[in-house]
Amino acid sequence: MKFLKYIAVFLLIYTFYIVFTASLTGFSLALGFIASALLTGLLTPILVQRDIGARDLKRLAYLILYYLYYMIVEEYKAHKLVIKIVLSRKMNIRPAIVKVPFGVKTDYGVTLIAGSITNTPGTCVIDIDEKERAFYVHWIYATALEPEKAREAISKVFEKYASKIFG
Amino acid sequence: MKLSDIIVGIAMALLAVMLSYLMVYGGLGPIASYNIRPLAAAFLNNTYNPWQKIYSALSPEAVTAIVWDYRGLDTYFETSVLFIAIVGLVALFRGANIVQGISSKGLSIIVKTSTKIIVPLILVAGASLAFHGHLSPGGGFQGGSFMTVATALLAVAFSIEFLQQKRLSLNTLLAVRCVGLLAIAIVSVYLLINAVLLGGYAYIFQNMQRLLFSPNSLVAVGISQYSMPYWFLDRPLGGTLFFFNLSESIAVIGGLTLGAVLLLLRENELKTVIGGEEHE
Repeated sequence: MKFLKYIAVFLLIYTFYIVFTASLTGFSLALGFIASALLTGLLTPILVQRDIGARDLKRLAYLILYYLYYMIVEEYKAHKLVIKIVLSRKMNIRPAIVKVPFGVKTDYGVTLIAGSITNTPGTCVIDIDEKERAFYVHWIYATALEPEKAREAISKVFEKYASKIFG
Repeated sequence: MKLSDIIVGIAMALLAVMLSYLMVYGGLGPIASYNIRPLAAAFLNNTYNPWQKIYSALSPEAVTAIVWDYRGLDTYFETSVLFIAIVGLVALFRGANIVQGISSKGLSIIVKTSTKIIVPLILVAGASLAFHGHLSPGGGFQGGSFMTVATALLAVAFSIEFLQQKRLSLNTLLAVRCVGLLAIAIVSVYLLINAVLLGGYAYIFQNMQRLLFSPNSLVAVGISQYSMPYWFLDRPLGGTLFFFNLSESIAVIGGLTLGAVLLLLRENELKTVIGGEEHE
């Protein structure tokens, strides 16, 4: 189906419009429909390159699952570590910049991993090497300096989900 | 103690005193006298008044009603001033154009993808500000500036060469700006042209029905019945206000993006323009 991706992008933009205006009057729904349709036509070729189909619903389900898991489990773990460092009397840190390779292929997957790493306290992506497929990550308490071990500790979970969601 | 420390201390004390004065008296000067207050009361009574259309702008948002209806001509010239500033910028950079292949990489893939996701959302939020300008705070200029953030982000994250590849060249942006201004001009004289063609009378910047005056006196001689649509589905449209806001947002996104892109031009593109001629 060629038009499915247009419909998906339209739904995203229109939903955001309704949430932003916080109004369900015919006036704002009608005008928002026109504006969202225009933007969808203009921007879909930039946003989505491949066609989408029913199998992408599974990916969407993974995305929601990942969001819940990330927000509840991963964020909690990372916060616990950083809170410990902040509250302790000694400066108990081992800062380092480590190289973390990644295996996902799509731009969206790379962005999801990078966003997840940066959003978790304690780690922060400072650069990306697209040729070597690796991030450079600043880590406040580095437990490993080798790329593969750092990958294990920092981004293994994110990568597992990112490859399932975006490929 | 240094002199600068004393000056800073006195300045801080003065700021605190002035702020507390503001809070206690509600203004830096005396409160408006009684003979000025009826003006505010008149605006509030007439901004949305379906029973007295000859005085009303039929828009619940008083500020927009004043800006685009009661003092519409003034606002038109304000918009023109901004346009003249853009014209000055274009004249200063005349001959410069975006050249492909200088440094088209842009920022990293992470920034590019995030920008890609957020651009349509910024654009639709800006559009909603422009649509609801006559119902809630916001309006054409605000909505247009809001949308310019998206194009400026694209220009920085993807490089200005990307904009040109997507057919947003300098000339297109200038054309968008001109279309917006032209739409404002057309809306402002639409009822007048309508009336002239039908053999009646109307004013420029007329919104709803207005009282007609004979040219030499202040005696009303009738009512100009021409009026812009004031209702769309289930909410007031405010007549010209909605169309002015829409046109203004188009004009602003064209003009401000043009300004941003001109200021982002690289050295190679500007050498012939700013280098000037060699003087002995």
